[in-house]
Amino acid sequence: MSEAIIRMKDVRKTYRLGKVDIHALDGVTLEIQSGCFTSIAGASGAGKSTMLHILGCLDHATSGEVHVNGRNLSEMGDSELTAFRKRNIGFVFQFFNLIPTLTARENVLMPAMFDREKKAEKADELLKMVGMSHRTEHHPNEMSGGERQRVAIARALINDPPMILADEPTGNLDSQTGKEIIDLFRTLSGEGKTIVLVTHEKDVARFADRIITVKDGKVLDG
Amino acid sequence: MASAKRFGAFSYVGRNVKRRSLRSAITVTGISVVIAFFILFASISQGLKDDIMEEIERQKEALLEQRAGFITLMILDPFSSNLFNGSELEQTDQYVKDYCAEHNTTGEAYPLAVNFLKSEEPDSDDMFLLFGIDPEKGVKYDFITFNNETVSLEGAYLSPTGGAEILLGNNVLQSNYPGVGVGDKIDIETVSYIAGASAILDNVTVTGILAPSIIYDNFAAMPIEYLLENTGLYDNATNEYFYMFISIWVEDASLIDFAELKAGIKDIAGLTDRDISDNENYIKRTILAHETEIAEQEEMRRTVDGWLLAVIVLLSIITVVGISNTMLMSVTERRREIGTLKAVGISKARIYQLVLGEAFVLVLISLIIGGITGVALAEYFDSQYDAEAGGIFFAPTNLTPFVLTYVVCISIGVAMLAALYPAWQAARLEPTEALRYE
Repeated sequence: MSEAIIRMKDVRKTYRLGKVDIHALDGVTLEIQSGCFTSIAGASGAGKSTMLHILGCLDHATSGEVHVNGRNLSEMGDSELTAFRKRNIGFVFQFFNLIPTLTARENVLMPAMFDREKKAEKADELLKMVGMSHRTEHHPNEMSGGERQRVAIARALINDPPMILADEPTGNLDSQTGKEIIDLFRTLSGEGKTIVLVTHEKDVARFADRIITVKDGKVLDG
Repeated sequence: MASAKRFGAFSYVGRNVKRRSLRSAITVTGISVVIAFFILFASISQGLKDDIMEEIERQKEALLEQRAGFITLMILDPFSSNLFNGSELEQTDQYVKDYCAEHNTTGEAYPLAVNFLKSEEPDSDDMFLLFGIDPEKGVKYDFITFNNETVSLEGAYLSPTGGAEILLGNNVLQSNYPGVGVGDKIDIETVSYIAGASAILDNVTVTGILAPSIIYDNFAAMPIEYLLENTGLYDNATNEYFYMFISIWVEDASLIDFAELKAGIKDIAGLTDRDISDNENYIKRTILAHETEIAEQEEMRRTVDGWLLAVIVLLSIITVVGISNTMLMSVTERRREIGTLKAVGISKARIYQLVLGEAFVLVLISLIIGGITGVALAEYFDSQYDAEAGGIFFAPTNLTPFVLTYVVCISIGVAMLAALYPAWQAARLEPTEALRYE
């Protein structure tokens, strides 16, 4: 069995809403193996997004330990987390989050725009891999939703991170296109990338190797 | 095509400016107008200041000239034979030099002779004063202002080499030599007060005629050597010339004590029976007048600086509002985009760079457009300015590289300052903004 790329131990996240404490995560402990295609499923408000934020180094846990790719996230400061995110995590969003003024190739290159190393060739390879080589010079408004999500996946891969976090990546797509995107994730998983997909759709979650169900801030099964 | 594949922060900033082209255009237009006026006001202010500084320099020069003081030693009775002789002049000169050196200035003594020019009018016993002056000293110490009155001169001053030359006052000319002009030769008859003997000097060239003035109308001047040699002001016994006056010139009279100098001259040179007059009070008055004028000009310069500062502040506020507003709107509209940038690992410092970069591009375009307009406006104002008539504006403009440099620096500085707050807003956005479902 491969090594765990994500390790969460008794992770709690509490938000203060007025005088009431909201326990978004309530003692979550889990491990996700490297190269595994995992989906985190649950109803709205179950704590999926909070878990994604913490795994994606976008937010700190209130207590507990989170290790990603061997690093303890709670020991890292803001700028260190940013740099860590860049090297280790690729994000895929529900609304694609492409920049409308940039072409497909430029959107893919966006995370590396300050890098000395020029990655134009790599961007073209990634676009080819996601089946978008015919759209490199097109802007997002000239593409369908599925095409946009493919470009977004290529963008997530530009810095060659070991892990992809996808937040409801099919939520804005029809079922057929959604299936194609899931297939793309499967392919990436086959190539060794760890995929963590957050969804509230059971039909989508079932395509993963492993399903973690979250309810009321707790991991129910998986 | 390889060039189309290049993408970096510059391209991203450029696209963002282009994205809201109408808003960018409005902002650029506003800032361009501000910069054009900034250049115009700065060049007008520079022109005004140049004028003021020129006037201050003029006044300072005049002040220095006015500080130069004259003291005249004269005998009490011009008809006595108690004139100054050569050794007295030498002693006085040495004393003055030493005294002035002690007081951080320079000075010297030089002779003046006085003879009389007989009136040519029938039955007239009038006599005109005929000064013998050293042409070189006369020029150096501006002999024309000797009695504290500046008069204009038609023709030329006595030539440095001296000779048979004369400067004529208005009455002397009208009474004795009507119709004579500059360059003409005249014959003159002098009356010497030593022996009462007369001398006739032929073919004396009129080098200049003094414009009518109260003091100089009855006045004529010749080179001292020529006058002394030809009118009997010579002591055969001692083999010395006699001088009626000794003039003392001091470079900066404000540094000396007139009374002390006069007393010293009397003691050292043994001239105790001579009367010594000076123009101390006049010097003090004129120094005060020039100093007042300089102070007023300095005050005016400060006022111009104050106005320029007010204009800079006003224009800066407009720029700050324009840039801040544009950038804040841009940042607010792009919360999700900025969140995405942060989520994919773009650091806070880079976000600052991107927002400040956009403001920089806006101000750079504005500088080009506003710069060209401002330079054209300044040139137009300058072309319309007439030093005599004044033109459509009260001052010439002066568009120096310094003016342009500080307009560029202030504009960029203000724009960057204005973009700091929006940049801070952008940098503190949470990356989770990218994940919001709105």
